[in-house]
Amino acid sequence: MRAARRPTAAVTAALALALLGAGLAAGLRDASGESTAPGPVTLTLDRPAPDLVGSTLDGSRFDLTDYRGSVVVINVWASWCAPCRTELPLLAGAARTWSADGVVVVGLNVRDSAEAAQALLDEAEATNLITVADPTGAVAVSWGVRGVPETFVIDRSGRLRLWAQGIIDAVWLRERLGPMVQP
Amino acid sequence: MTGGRRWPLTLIGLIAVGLLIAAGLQDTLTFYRTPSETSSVAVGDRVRVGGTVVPGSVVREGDVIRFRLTDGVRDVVVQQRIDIPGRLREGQQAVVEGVLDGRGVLHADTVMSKHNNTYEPPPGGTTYEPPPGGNTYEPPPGGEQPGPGAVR
Amino acid sequence: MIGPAGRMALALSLVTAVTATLLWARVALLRGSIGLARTATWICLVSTGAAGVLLDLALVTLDFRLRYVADNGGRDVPLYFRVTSLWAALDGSLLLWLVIVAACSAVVASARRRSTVWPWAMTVLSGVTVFFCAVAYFAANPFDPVAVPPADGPGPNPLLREHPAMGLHPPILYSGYVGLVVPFAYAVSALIAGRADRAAALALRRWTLVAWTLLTLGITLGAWWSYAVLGWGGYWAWDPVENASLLPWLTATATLHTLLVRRPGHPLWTWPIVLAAGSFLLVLLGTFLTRSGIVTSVHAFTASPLGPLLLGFFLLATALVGALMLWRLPHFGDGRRSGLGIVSRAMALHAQAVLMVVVAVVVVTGTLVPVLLRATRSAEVTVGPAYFNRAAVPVVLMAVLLMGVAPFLRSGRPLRQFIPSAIAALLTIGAVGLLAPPSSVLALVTFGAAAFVLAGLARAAFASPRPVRLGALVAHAGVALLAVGVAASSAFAATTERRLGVGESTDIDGVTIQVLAIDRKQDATGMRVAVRTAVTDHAGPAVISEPNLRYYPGHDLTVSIPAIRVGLTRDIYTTVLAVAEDGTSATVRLTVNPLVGLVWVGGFLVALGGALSLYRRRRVPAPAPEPVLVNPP
Repeated sequence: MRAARRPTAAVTAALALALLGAGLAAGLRDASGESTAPGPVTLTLDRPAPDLVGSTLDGSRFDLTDYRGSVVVINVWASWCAPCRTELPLLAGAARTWSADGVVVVGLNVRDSAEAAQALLDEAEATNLITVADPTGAVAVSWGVRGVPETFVIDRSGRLRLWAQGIIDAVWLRERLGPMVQP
Repeated sequence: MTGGRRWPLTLIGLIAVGLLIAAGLQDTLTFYRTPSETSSVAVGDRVRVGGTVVPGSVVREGDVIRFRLTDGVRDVVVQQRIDIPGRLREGQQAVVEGVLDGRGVLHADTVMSKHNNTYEPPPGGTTYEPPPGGNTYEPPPGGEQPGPGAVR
Repeated sequence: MIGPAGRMALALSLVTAVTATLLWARVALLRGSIGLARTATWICLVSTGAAGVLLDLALVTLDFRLRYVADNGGRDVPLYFRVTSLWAALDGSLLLWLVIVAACSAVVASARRRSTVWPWAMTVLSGVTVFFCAVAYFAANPFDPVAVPPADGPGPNPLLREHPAMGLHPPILYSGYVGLVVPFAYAVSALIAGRADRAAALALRRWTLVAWTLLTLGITLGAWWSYAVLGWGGYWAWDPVENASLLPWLTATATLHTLLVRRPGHPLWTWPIVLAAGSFLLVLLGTFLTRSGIVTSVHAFTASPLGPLLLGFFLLATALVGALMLWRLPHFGDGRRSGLGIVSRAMALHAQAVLMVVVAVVVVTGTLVPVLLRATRSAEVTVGPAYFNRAAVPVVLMAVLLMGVAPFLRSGRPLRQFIPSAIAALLTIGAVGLLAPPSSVLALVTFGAAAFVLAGLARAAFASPRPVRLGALVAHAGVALLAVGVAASSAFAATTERRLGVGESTDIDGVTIQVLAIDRKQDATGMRVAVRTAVTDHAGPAVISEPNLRYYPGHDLTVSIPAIRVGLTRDIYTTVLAVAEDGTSATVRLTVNPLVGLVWVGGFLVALGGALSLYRRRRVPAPAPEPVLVNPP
């Protein structure tokens, strides 16, 4: 009797395990397909950067074309945007860390008052950032910005390479910007 | 093993456990829906809905907070008694759980996020499309006045 | 410097683990040199330990060149939490896993009293070590470098640096969880050899007891951590990760009960072999569930490439063990000489094991249903606490009642023995039902069941000779207290949520809370809003209680840290849910949790019971009397 039962038991057990395995594997595939990579929606582009000419918060003139040869990170922000507050210290840190590698971080302050913007920069200890004022949002419109925060990266030859929509984080800076800084 | 005498008992035990599990699962499952799929949800059923919080839709009235969740196709109005800190950001993904009323309003009691701060996107949810002409900058509501608005 | 050294240490671990497996297999098959194999096992422990120390050193000295440190280190993190960051994320926690497996192997390799199947057990242990070495080296290497080291990191997840229990809960839980590998190794070695001697049975019992005690302690600490940090007022949410730790606990409990059927040192038989092997398979399943991103949970880590690896290992191990069982289990007896009496100690122990397994089946089903339904693409669902409360709690109650019966089954005339316990139970139900009727009947029944158990245990404690060992007595009392704590805190908890301006107050159950001030502070790690409140319990003196809302920009995460006034009979638990933008009002949740402290007390008593059994087991190897079969009344 035992001899007759054991093959049946073996087949049943093997089938059950195979089914469980298949189910878990399928669930796993779906799980990994659904989870977004952390960080913002990032578009990879390769086209000439639009013009960015304007005056900075401290009154001096800014022209993007002067920065050919550097990797320029343009962060679109406003003092009324909560996520931007978290981004600015990070960007200020990145600017300090990577300035020797030829990275320039430029803030594009849209639809904001100069006082509020300056106050946030002071609070975030991000006064080392070059900040271009765009009180009407005209520059942002010409760049295709849909909201804040957004971040653009222009390579050393002046071409627009990355466009991040949403909050960038340390991982993004390391994994997306890092490779562009490497010579 | 005295298998001959024992197997009926084992079978009864297995059936009992199966029944226990089946009974337990009755009405305790919470289905996950996208805002588009909420139209097929019966009134009073508990449901979990994931989507993007529509920018500008968050309204606070006393202890009640109301906002819209979208999957890019349809919106669902969510109403909730208490604002869980940091869980609700305009333009970000949120997963809420609650009960739908007859007017299509979801009365939520929980807003969820994961530890690592990556929210669950709705299955088959929105994919971000770059603006076609690149000319669709939305100013914050209130025109010239700076204020909390089109925050992504 | 640390990066290459760590990678080398892990590589050395992998090589020595492979070598050790081959050497132990040679010992098992050809009677090769034990010394050589043991040396390989020890070198493996030393190198994995070195890898762990190096990673912690990197976290403490903030070597941001390592990916793990770049993701989890931070300049603002205090030293203590830098050290605990070792297990704050996926790769580091797998390294801890590995260190524990390697440590278990080394300890078993040095065993003085050896079973004939011991070389096989060492082969199995080394094989498991090989797999986790390979995972740590190839798939989740925490020593991987980053292209451009950041100047500062975000620090570990904020929730993991709010409570000192973070230094205890994960290592203890892991030690128990992973420690179940040793009973597994002995069970599998018995299956491979087709026989098992006294020494194998003793080792299996001792290691199950050690792992079970640590697991109990770890789960209890986890519940306490969850209560004190997560701010939702509960301690157990039937979250997949919590379930993953509970499942092997249940089967390990079952293993311990079946082991009591025969006197210590009886050669192994079917039940403990199946349960000990199954416990570790559940550990592997749990590791897969929690480390692959397949389940959504507050504790789970994000999707990782580890999923297929861990799933593959779980399936392979299950298939191998299953095949061995089909082949070899008929060689083992079922642990008794004659038929079981319906009312006998052996029957009660078996029934208890069956109930534990049933609870495990219920829990594993509830955990896997969402995954399997998603796999068939039929629906995206979650299984809430309602399922577990409905399907698992009644079975647990049956187990508690059985626990109250068990102490008396060794001596004769059981029916009369139960009368005092039954009276205590009925009195409790009557008293609670009349004085403070709880919202659910289940809670009332739980109080009765707990009274039944405690009355029985009290009588057993003073009986001479004592029918229960001290360890079992303490552990069972712990379970009863735990049940009371769970039932009382869920049935009698009262909660209120109100938006309060400064000076305003709200009350519930005789507890009044008044908001005195709302302070916003900016510190190094982020924003903090402290709501200073005065809590008055009945007419007593007002006590200052200060729940917090903390914002961590590095993770864009807000954490609500509760303020808990721990009382003898009830906790007063306050949390801040939100603060108005202008800082003039805050939404506060006030919860009164009666007897919730019994949950931790009970949990610790259960663990203490395990530790006591361990102690006595070693000192008194005197054979216990054979189970007395009692005729049905």
